[in-house]
Amino acid sequence: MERDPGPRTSGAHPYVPQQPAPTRPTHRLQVSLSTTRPASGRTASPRSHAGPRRQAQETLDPQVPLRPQFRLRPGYDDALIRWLGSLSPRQRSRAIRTALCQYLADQSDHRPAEWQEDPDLAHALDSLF
Amino acid sequence: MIVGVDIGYGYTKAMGEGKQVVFPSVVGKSERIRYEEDIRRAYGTDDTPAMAFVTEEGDRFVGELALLQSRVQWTLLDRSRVEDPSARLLFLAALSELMGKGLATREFRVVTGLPVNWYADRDKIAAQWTGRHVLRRVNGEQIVHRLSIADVLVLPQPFGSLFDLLLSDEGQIADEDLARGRLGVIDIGTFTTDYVLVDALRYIEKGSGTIASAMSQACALVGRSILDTFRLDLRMHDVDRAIRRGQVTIYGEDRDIEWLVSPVLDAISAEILAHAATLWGDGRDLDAILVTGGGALAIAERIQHRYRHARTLPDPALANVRGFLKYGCRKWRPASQPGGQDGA
Repeated sequence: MERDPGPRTSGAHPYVPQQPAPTRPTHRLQVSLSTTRPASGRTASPRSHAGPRRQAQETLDPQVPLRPQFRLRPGYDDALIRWLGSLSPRQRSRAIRTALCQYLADQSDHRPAEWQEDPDLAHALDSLF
Repeated sequence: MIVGVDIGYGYTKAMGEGKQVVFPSVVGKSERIRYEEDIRRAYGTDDTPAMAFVTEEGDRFVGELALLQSRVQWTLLDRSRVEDPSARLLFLAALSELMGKGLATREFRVVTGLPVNWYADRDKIAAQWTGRHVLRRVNGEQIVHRLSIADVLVLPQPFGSLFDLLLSDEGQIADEDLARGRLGVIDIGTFTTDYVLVDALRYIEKGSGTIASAMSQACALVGRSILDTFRLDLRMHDVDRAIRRGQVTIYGEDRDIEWLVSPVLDAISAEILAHAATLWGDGRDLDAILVTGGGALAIAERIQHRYRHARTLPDPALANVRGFLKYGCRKWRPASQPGGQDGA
């Protein structure tokens, strides 16, 4: 998942692809989900032995970097809402769970050693008090 | 030693160097009949002596010891506590607990908090706490603790919870997405409920404030109902425990009090939500609302009915003091560490 490029700007949401929303979902996340489906054709169990980290890596879609801790807002996150709405409940649930796992991994273990705080945020925080 | 200290109306909380102290914010006159040895045997251990102190104002019990033993005991509920010797005693007692038995002298850098509307009093707190203090504990023998307070940083209380969520233990920003968001914090304490609004870590004054409606009000109403129903006269701390248990014990028999508590919490929630609506409207422009404080567990569910993006912080009663400590680590960690502002 790519890091947030910067503070929110008016007009474009940093977490929604800039291109017009596709009429048919083409996200890699959906493709990846289908690859995890067992040979029997049944949807993979949510309690897959792959583990959340591996599942997160397998289903990572850099074009749809979800922010699982924030709610989706109509008029602002429409592309994301349409895409999630096109999924079956089980796929939707797994997509959200996968994004959460990916988010947590990205926030902690996967942070590169040379990672540094966003200077604008750090300045805002240090100048608060 | 960098510490976070939160002197709440209900409980005093302190954290530093992996240690954590929580005790009721109650000071009482000492009882001389069963003093010294009995106190140590009953309430203290070799590592954690009982909280009995010799002060300029007289001999005092603090915390559980005061609640259990003192015939005269008090908790300060108004703004005057900022300058009251009892608040200073609670502060020093908390630091003394963190020191433990081994050390007699220690230097501290302290981050603490005040209700949002009382934040103008921060200089009084800093002036009263900074400097050298001598604390005499009585535990069979006198133990003298010499405390040197090098720095005191005072934050609006809800910022503690915000920092707890945003910062790592070392004080680095751990959740940048959240930090960039527009966030409301509702801190439901014992005597006050505080509201803070931040946008990309910028404090928004018009979206922040304090109301004097919180768990003490609920305790007073439930306490009166318990008295009317069961003829049981409980102090505020005992009512607080009864609310958490959902029961009182009458003649050895547990009696359910949920039916008394629920309507009171509904009324308190309505007042808290009304002020939130005044400050934030229906909250649709907020990325998240964080519910914290000792009253969060009792009230949060009702807040989520109104604001579906509200979420309760983990272990909300200690979230403020954890955040104070994290911000202190950020502020005063050695300059050699990344992001350090100055040397410790």
